[in-house]
Amino acid sequence: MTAYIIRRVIIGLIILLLVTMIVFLFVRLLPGDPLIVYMAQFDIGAAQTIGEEQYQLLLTKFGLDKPIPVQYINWLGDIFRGNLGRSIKLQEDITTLMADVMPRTAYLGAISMVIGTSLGILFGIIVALRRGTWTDSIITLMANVGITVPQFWLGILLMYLFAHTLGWLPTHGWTPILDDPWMHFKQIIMPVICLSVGGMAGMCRLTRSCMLEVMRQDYVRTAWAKGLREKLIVYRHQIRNAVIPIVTVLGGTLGAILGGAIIVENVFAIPGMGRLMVAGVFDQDYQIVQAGVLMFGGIVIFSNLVVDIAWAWIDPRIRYD
Amino acid sequence: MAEDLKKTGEPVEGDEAFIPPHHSEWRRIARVFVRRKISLIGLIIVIILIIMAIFADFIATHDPLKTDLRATLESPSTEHWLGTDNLGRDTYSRIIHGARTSLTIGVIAVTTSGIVGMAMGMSAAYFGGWVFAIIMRITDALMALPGLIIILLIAGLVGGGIAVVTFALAFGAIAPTCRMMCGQALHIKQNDYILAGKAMGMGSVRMMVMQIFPNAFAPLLVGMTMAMGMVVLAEAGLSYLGIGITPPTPSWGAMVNEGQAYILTQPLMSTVPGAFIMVMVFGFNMAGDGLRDAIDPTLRGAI
Repeated sequence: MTAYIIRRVIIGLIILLLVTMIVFLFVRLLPGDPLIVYMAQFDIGAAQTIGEEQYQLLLTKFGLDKPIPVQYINWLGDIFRGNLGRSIKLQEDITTLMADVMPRTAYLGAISMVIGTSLGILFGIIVALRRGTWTDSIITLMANVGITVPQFWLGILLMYLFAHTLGWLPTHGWTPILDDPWMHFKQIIMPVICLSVGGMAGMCRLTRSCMLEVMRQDYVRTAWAKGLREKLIVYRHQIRNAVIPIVTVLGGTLGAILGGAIIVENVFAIPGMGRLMVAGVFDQDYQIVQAGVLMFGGIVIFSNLVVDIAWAWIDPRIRYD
Repeated sequence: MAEDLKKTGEPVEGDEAFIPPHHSEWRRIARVFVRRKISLIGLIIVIILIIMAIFADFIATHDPLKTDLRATLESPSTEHWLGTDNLGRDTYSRIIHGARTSLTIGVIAVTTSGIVGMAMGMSAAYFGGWVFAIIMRITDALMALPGLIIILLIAGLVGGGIAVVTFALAFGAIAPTCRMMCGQALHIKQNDYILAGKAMGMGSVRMMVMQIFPNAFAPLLVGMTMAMGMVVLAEAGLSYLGIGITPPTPSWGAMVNEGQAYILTQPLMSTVPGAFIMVMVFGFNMAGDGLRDAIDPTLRGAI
């Protein structure tokens, strides 16, 4: 087990390192000169009129004259010291900005993740146990629709129904839970529905097919043949085995939910990571976008690691593959 | 000799009657596919949308780009079937032309990512060792970045527009294709005909193109159909955020965004384009599902 954990952690770190490399290369290789962007903050015209000599001076100042690998190491060192750079547009340290907005996104993501996966697995099990009935047809169709519905469109429809027509919920906005818990609760209902629907539908489909797979296995037939009660077969033999492949996709589901947060936060005007990043794209504030990408990547890698280790602990077979 | 055997009616090995009738694999796939109603519906949806995109100029009643400031935000009428938007453009015509935008971007992005992803996955599986380790770790890293986020980074650095969005979407779809292809190729590699090819002195490239690729094609077709749905959805999301397709090109995602402000007076302006996004993604997903089950029932849930 210890060997497995060490191996998994090392692989996780390698992947994290590769993520930083990909992001760094993107920023350096894609068109767009960071220096011009930097100059733009002082004076719109300065970037164009800047002389050759001055340009070289700036290159040296920011270390951009060094070879690419050296630049990468310096950049990486800065990041690990917690220095993500400074937002040109907002005139604030990105680390401070991130510490401000990240918890909101993580909070919404975590709630949606828990609701989406638990209800999705529950529905998947129900549907598999009642396969072929109208319950199966309806829930499976809903799951198929659920994985295709665009989150922003669902958000607008919910807004139209619950906020404009019925007037039950506020259209958008964010109130800290400590300021007004009731308002906070009302404001997060629609975003959480939008964020969890895709994961829930996907989970339901996957659970259904995993359950149907398990039901065909010999040990389930044996369990029936030896006269076990149905409840025992379902709980002990079917669900336990069906859940194993489901857990391997949890990391991907979290990634999808976080990706969805970018859109949903913009629909409901929630000041989280997604909103900050999209604003960063519009303001050409690439450092904010870059920091956001690193944060999201880090979260997904870390949660994949936790899931892997937890599951190797639960299912010893996984340790030896 | 053969005559005698036929008389006795007992088929013997080598006899014509013993050989099973020719059985077309594609015909079997088509039969299983058609039998599942939902996948047939998906395929029909996709075909209708493709026809809509190709013949958009004839199906649309108005020029999708022509603004008419005297007829803004009109309700549905015989002149404008779904009303007009805030610039007086015909919503129905814009939706028809939006299918063209979505499908063009989707097809180019999925094909590009398919070719690159397949080449990467195949090389990883075929060469093994270091090549495998490097390619698959890069794939892992790309998979750790949620699709929309990596697209956001590219769009943020380079700016919007059809070309950038297509490139970004293609890039985002490489990793899953690569991973799937690698799995397929690893499986195929164990077959004897690969060993035979090696014994005959077949080169690596030739082996991959002539032996591995044709045998991995069917599952990849499924993967690419599913990827179409994902890419269309991602494009709509980007365009909704205002990062994707730049106006005035008609795009369903952007239309939802434009219509959002007028939801109380003109609900059709944003709800109908959104419904079309959903229908298109649904069509591709269901067609892909059916194709997967038809090609190989054991793959159910695996891809």
